[in-house]
Amino acid sequence: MATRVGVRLIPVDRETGQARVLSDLGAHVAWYGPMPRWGKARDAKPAALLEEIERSGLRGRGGGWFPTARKMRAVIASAAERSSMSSGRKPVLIANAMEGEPASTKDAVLLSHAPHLVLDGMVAAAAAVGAKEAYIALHRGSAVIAVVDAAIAQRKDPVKIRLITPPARYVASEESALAHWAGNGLAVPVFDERPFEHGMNGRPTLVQNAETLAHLALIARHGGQWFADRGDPQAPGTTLVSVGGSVAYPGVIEVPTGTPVDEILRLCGGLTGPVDALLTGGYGGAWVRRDELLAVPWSPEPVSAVGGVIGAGILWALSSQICPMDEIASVAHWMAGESAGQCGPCRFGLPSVADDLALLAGDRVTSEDTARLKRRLGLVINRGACKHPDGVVRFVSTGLHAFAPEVAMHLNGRCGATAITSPRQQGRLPLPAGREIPVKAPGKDFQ
Amino acid sequence: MTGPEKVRQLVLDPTLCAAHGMCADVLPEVYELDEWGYPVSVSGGLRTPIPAELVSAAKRAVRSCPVRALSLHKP
Repeated sequence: MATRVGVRLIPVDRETGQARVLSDLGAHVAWYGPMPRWGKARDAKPAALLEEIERSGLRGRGGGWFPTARKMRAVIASAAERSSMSSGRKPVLIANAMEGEPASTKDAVLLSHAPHLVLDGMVAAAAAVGAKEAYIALHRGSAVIAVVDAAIAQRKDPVKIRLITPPARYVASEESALAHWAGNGLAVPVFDERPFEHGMNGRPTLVQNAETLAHLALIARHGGQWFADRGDPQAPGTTLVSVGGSVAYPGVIEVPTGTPVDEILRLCGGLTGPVDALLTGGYGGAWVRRDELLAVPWSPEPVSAVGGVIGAGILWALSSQICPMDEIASVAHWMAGESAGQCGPCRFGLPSVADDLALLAGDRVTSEDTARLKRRLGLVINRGACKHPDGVVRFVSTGLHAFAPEVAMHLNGRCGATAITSPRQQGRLPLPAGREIPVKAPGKDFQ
Repeated sequence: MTGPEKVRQLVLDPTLCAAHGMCADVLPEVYELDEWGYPVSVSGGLRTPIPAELVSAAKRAVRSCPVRALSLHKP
């Protein structure tokens, strides 16, 4: 897990070029400077902090890129409405470091190098919205639990920060699922409820990604204008990108938003072989053909203009030697299993889509099978309580489009991939261990 | 204004729906069933605008759902 070219968040030593590990609070303060005591003093201060966040233009790095200040104002407004109605329930803050996307490692890298920066951001966010309780959610079994636990123990914060570990399911990291798990232990998405109005135990709940909070910790120190001066003005600042696949040095990289994709790949040592398309945004994201993506600035709007998705900052270059149909089928199969199973179209639709894709990845597929697949893809979207099925459909549909020549070859009983596919092969899309999927053996039917 | 006025919104909670299919019987103008027996709205989503002439049928659909997955709202 290489970490390079720290710009702001990741503490990269100028002399050695190595990322430092600032798990000690003293070392953290020495590196980033002391945190102003927002919220500790007068009432005016949280409002002033909120203005700085507004000025910064910070947008959420968990995937949605929603303006952070606007989300905070919605939480504050919801809490004010409640208190005028009597009960007066204080808002709650949840830092989302679940990192449900298997190809994403940015939050774990951030927390292992600068845990206190995320915790500082939690203190700032809690102050801005008036939360008295704050939780940081790491998925069960996460490698950074011990680091975060130790970091919390070193601190004396005005808000009590607790570590929670929901199950490591893909949909458990969805905002409403997370807020409800923290309240009632049910890590499933909820229909028609927005956490900022009705989250943990029914309280207004601010859910922010760990990276977003780390940026917030720096905005609290240096001000909104400082933050806004770097990167794409439409989505300012720097951002972490998990780069993987066919690049020389896969890992997490911090770049200003708006950095062209080919520059990001160059910083990771460049492509190591032929690549037809790249996956953007992870398994709820989208495939984009290489020639359409390389010159595009890495920022939500330009990437979306070519059909991509930044999401939680994932960029995966799939080697042309690996069969894309195998990859798409494997991921769709895994994602079908990650459904919470609450909504019929997701519970039944995704496995059906995955079955059709398995046929396509094999060598006995007919045009009837692909027609059925396309019909089913159209049937699954916009019908779930959360966006899980819609994300899978986007992943699959854009893949079929980006790899259209490969689809055509499979329909003729051939495969353009030169490598023999094995489950653990380098450069294949990662799937959490223990969830092996059927793979194609060379010269044999799909099993 | 062209077309009938949309006076209500019919909302389907997909986490409650258990594919009984009553809604497609009572309100075929709005719902048809997919290959797994779950209702698909003409609107393509979970919220369907209901014109005035279908409001009473929509109310029947709400009452006929055994798991109360449908609800009718003012838009």
